[in-house]
Amino acid sequence: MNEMNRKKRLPTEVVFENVSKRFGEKQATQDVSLKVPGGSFTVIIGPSGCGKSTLLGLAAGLDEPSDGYVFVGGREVAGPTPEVALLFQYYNLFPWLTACDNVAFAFRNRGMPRKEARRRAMELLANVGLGDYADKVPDELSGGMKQRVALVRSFALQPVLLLMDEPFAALDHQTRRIMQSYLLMTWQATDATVIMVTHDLDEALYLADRLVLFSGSPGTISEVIDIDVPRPRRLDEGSLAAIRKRLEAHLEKEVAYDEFTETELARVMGYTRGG
Amino acid sequence: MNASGPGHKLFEQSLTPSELQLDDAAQNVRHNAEAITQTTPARPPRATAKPRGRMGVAWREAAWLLFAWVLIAAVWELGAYTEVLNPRILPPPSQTIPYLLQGPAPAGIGSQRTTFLGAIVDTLSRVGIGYLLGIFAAMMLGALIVRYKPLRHLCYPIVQTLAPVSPVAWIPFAIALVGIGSPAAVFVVFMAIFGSMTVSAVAAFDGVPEEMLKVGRSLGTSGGQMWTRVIIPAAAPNLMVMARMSFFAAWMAVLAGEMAGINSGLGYLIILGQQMYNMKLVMVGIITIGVLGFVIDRLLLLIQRRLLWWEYRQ
Repeated sequence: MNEMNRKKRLPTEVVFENVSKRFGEKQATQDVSLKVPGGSFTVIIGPSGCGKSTLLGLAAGLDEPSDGYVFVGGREVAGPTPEVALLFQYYNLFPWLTACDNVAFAFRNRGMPRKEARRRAMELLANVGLGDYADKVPDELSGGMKQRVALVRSFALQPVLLLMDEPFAALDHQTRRIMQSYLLMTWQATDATVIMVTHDLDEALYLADRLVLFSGSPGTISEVIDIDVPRPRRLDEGSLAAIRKRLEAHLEKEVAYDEFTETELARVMGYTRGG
Repeated sequence: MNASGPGHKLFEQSLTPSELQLDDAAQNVRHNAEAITQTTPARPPRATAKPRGRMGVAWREAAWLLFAWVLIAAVWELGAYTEVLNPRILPPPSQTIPYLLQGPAPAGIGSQRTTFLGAIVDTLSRVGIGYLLGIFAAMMLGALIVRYKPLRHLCYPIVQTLAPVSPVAWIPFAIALVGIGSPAAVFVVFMAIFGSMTVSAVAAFDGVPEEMLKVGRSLGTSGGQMWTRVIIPAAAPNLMVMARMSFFAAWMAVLAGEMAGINSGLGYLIILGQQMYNMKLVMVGIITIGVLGFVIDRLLLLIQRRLLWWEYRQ
């Protein structure tokens, strides 16, 4: 029954309406308005410290906007719910729980009996090829395995929204590609909306339906690009290559403002770029 | 899981030759060197190697400990025999150990009369109670300081200024408050660790990664469960290290207290030895303090291994 209801529910739209957020003196984001279509895969890209992660915190209900509104599924966000899952670069798993118990943690918090929670967790881990590692603690797992367990747990409660903050940034190139495939595979089997923050242009181009370019401090949206190239994608494809150029230009322009002087940048970049 | 079976077998096979050679002392060194080179490529998975490895390390550690003490006792004995060391001031082990084993005669007079065993029981119970109370109170206050902003502003500076006060400085106050005896000693132990342990508890709770708390909250943990299920286990490794450090502070505090006015217990036994010029008694006191302190620290380490089992895996 539950499954049926889940399938029928409408994909969850996320709306930021003139959102500003200050942390003490620091203005993290300024007057951000953004509509994230239900069921879409939206990637936010931009230089460090431009308030991208702040947006995720607001959508998760972990922070409140200083000004403006955040709506998830038509309702204003009022605190964290299990309907919204989070995935970070580190610290997703509790080091004192085994992989199985980490996944079961999600079920246990909803009042499921321990045995049942463990059984469900084992099933989910087996689905991603981690059945043999269920009794390992996170310290015994590789970085990729940890993120796979975390990914499984994120989807365990069938969230309507998944918020990811550079989830694969700490992984090596190959593992990252595989994790991206896992993510797409898992996501496409659900109707969840995904918002992901990343620094990795390739990652953004492989995954996104919609790219949101963030800039500056305080953070504002400078551009939104829709990508309707079907997956799996090849990055050397004409339209993607063109978008990539635009993204690179955007990021380069942004970083120049930040921590390098113009002359320093010109001098240094001569070593890697011609002309 | 599957790998552990064959891996274990490999391990046994590779070890057998070196075990056989253990009897043959003459060839031991050479063959051991061979055994090591043979063993290395056939290394079993770490999971099966670990328990054995750790036990091996523990035995070796114990052997070295024993050896070091036998060495120092021998040198000492020699020094006393040749009268390089004055045996009346530094009684050699051959006098001290029989004295210790027969159980030193009851010392002191009147109400301050004490036996060796009585002194041990006094000191252990004081340090035990003071230590547990101190740790518990520090954890509670630490949690409150982390949880409630005004408390942080109000209590934390006070705790920080009291933390560096030497526990012995509390003795006059303790004796005036609860009189000479065990409660005063417990008080001194408590004061010795409460401040520093509170500071550590606050640091440990503050140090729990923000992401971990966010994940906990988004998975539906809230309120008290946040503490029991996320914050305390996450802070446990740091707390445990500080708790072990605190034990040394508590141990020194109780002895200092017993020497400086609380007239009973192991610390007082040493003062009695001094007053009666019975250096064997002083030596017995010192040995007992050292051995008990060491044993308790090892017990705490054992508890740490049990409590933080996940850190000792792999």
